[in-house]
Amino acid sequence: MSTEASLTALERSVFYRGLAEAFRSPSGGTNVLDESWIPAPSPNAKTEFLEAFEPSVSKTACSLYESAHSSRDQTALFEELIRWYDHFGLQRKAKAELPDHISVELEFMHFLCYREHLSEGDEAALGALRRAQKDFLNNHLHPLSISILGYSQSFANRFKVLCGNCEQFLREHTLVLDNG
Amino acid sequence: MSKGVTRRSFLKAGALTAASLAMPNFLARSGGSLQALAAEAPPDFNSALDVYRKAWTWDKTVRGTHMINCWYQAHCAFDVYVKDGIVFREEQAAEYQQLNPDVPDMNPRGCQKGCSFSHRMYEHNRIKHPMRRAGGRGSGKWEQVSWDDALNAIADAFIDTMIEEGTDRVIWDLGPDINIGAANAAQARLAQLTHSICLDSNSSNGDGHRGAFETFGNVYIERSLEDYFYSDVIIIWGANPIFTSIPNAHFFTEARYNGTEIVCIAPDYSASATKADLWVPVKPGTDAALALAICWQIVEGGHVNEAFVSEQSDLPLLVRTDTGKFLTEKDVDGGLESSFYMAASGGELREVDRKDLDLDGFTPDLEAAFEVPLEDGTKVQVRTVFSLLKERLSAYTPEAASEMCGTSPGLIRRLSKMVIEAKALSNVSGSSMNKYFHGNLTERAMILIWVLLGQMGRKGAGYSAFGFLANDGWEDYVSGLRMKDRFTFGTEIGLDLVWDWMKGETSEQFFKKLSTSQFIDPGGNLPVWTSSALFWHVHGGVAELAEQADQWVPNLKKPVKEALHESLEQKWLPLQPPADKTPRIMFHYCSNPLRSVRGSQKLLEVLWPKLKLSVAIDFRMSSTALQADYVLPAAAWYEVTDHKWVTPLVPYNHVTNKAVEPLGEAKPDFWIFTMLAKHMEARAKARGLDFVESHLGKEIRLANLYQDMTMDGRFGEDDGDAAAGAILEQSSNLSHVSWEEQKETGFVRYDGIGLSPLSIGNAGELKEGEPFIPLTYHIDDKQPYPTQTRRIQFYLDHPLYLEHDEHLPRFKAPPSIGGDYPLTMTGGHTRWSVHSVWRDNALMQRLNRGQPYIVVGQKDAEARSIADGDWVRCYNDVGEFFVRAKVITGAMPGQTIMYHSWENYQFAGSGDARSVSPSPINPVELAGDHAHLKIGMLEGQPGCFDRDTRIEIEKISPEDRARLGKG
Repeated sequence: MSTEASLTALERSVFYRGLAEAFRSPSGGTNVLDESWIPAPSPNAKTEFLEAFEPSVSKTACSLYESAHSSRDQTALFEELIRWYDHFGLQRKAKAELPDHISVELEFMHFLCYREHLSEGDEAALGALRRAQKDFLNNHLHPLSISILGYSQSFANRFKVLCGNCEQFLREHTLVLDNG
Repeated sequence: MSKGVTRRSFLKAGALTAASLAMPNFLARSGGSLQALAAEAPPDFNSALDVYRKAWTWDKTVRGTHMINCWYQAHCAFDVYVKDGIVFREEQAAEYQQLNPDVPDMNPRGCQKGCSFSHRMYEHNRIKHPMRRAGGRGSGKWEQVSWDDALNAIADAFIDTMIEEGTDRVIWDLGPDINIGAANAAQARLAQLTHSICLDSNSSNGDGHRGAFETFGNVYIERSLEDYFYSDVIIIWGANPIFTSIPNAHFFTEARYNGTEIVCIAPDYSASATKADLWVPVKPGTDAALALAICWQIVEGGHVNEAFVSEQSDLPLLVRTDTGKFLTEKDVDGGLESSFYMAASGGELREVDRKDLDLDGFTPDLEAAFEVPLEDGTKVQVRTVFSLLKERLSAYTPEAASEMCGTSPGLIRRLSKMVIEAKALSNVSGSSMNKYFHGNLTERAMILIWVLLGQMGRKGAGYSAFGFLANDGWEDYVSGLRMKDRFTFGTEIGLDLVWDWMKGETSEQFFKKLSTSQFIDPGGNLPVWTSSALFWHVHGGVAELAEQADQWVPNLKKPVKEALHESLEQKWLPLQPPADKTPRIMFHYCSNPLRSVRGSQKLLEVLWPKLKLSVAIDFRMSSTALQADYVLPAAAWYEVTDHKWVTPLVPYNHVTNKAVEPLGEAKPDFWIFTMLAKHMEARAKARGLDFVESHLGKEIRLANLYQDMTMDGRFGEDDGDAAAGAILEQSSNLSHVSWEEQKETGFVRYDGIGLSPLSIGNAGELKEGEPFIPLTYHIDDKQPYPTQTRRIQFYLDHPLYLEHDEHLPRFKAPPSIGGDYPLTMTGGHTRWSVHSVWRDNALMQRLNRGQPYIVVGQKDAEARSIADGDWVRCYNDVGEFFVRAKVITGAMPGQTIMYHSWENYQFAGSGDARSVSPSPINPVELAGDHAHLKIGMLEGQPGCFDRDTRIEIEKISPEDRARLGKG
């Protein structure tokens, strides 16, 4: 059992929030995650972020969209993700990122964990939420993080560390859910 | 991460105590707060299968289309399906009404490309934020910036350049996707308010239909698709509609059930040839010989429609045998140089009526040859154009022509018989012929077939050149909607035009003149245009690639470079800015010149270093955007409401509705241009700058730029929808249906060709229940053509044409552009691309080989030990590129096909398909200062030629391939 098991649902929710922010913008996540976990942004963070995660401008970049890492049809994937979000009462904002961006998927896990935190004591609710987290991690978010990690060796340090820690966090959370 | 340290230690102090939901991408579907939603009991969840229960539900569907230039096949109404602000799919609307019971309807319009746009708009090269270059150009280093920062920087550079070097140093590089709707109106309005320069891309696209222009004084000649059903012979010539006109193709194939015969003339056994009744193979670039052989059969067999050619063409006109010039009134009695003669039998001169084609019963002698006394007391021998033509055609017997074009004499005779016996003969036009160096001669020879037979102006009969049909309110909008009378545009030249009109010139001639004026000085209320081909050759350095043209093109009378210099010096063709002024800022809008311009490698070497600023406005990263200084994210076609020009083939205005919000920070084009004006006004005011003087000596009101741009606030940056509607309300040919109704239906049939310079040349009526037939204003109503002689003109007495022996149609052997190499590199569009916007679309890539390839015939491949799929080096004197070989049996020996529009970054190594195409200018196309050989919108400009490119190919080793890197 990793140290992950000791986290509360609220703590996990905050972690997911920090990770979502870190993948959303070059200096994101720093208000939530400690620098020992994600290095502070360098003065070139804006350029480094695009070099790492924007394939349209950098040949070595890795896309942060699940559809770029999946053999599944992009439209079908969007539809499935939208239905995931819809099932839990969420509607995409008009100016939102696409539903398969890793930051959006992390944000969804942030929500599920937060909801788990508010459902303490309601075993039926906790069961449903944990089954959903497990399925979502196994079917979408964790495989995506593994694929992104595979590209990360050429990234600037902040983003290389972010990718590694993200994958490890998701892996450990998956283990917790599998064992729970 | 060391063990034993709990993860909570990695959370910042305070993060946990302040923990709450932070969800920038979501709302609660119930409309309540997210916090309240989280506090609700969650829905049951047993497995991921639960989420499948809501498949096939939508929030809404809207009508949409694609603002893409597929040209002949473009314009298709789609239903666009939206859920949660995402476009999930589209399908063909299929509600076009049948025109009449005799003809098929248009349904379903749309192809796999349009059906994949919902996928395309979300692909991973979508631009979502403004970006600024953070390293050297093309280094791949970028940073995201705010719209304010980007627009302020661009506004400052724009103003600096106008002040320091002139307004004509700012260039709008406009590609073929401009829409003649609100988006493009905003760009054009900003250009006209700043007197910056717009590039007319038709010339560098090689779509100029120069032969039609030389013959009709006009390239815009096209029918509606329904009309093909009335043809009994349809010739596909210089086109491949089964590949490139997917929604149109059923009209041709269904016509066969009606008894129509289809002929396909092409070097290769193309997709269209497989659907033809007769395939006529011809060596690349030699079609003129085949066409003239048919003409010879027509003349020799006595099949000329003498009444038609006498009335409609210059064939009865008299030419002086001493100078090769038309006999004019000035020669005979000192009168007008623009008055010409024909002759009655017996040698009596008859002056040609310039205002009416009707001969009032007069029958000219088509073969007259006699002596005419001149005003100076001398005499001159004259002959008719027809007699000169007949003499020339005698060189094109089937046997002689076969030596030139490779088609067997028997097949030429069989084809000629079909053509001569046709009751209604039509052609399917493409823009392939224009891409041959002597394509103008080929097109003139092709048109001659139709004119000699009088196969024009009737149902099912006619020659199609270039399609364009547009609203005529766009110019009004661009000029500021200040003119109630669209004929004057409030310009000085407008008054001149009105005077011409009052003198009896036709509306067509009137608007042609207006079109020409926009390349010189439009008088203040319309933008200034220049020929893109001239621009890239002179300012882009492409002309340097063609310095060996004299070795490639036989019998040039002077070096191409010298001819170009002479034309510019003599101002035969206007160039903005002139050759001695350097462009400084380029906006690339709907354009991708680093991919599309032949010899585009020169642009990076010669032009880019001179640019202070390069701005790409696009929704995806193109080859050109990758080399820009700023990239501005444009809304995709389902993220904005607007409308688009069409062609007479599909004479329906097409509308796209905003289905979803633009992705990320993307903005509608209308917003971008209006906001740039706003920032320029603000920056000018901050500098205390009221105005600058333009290169045309006009006052550019910088301190009022936003006010002028928005027409005193009527059309602000968020009012693109209203602007699109205002354009249609101003239009004479689209105001019969309200904008709101047009948005709802997505398509509305035009009720006239209107007065746009881009459409008026079609010269026909759009009648209810009838197919559109072009040129009936001339053929039925006897209005003169906008040519020197006011007739369909095969004889060009311009000195350049006389010098090059091109005063009459003829065959000239294709040059060896790029050097003396054994293979000709032809080209064309494919089913899966047409243009680069689709080339790296993952769905389209799955339908073909997905990476650049060159098509090679089996024998040519075997001779070089090349197997299908091998990597090959393609090279000539100018450059090289590397692709895989696709070996087929259907290519003519000596022919290779490099299909169009692969992005540069899809090639392995440094070269791309343009690297071997120097595209020298054809000197006769530099003619100007002539009654009808002068520049205009999309016509009268030098072309670009890649179909005569000669190359060699060789197989490369796996090791050499590996050294090329990614591709």
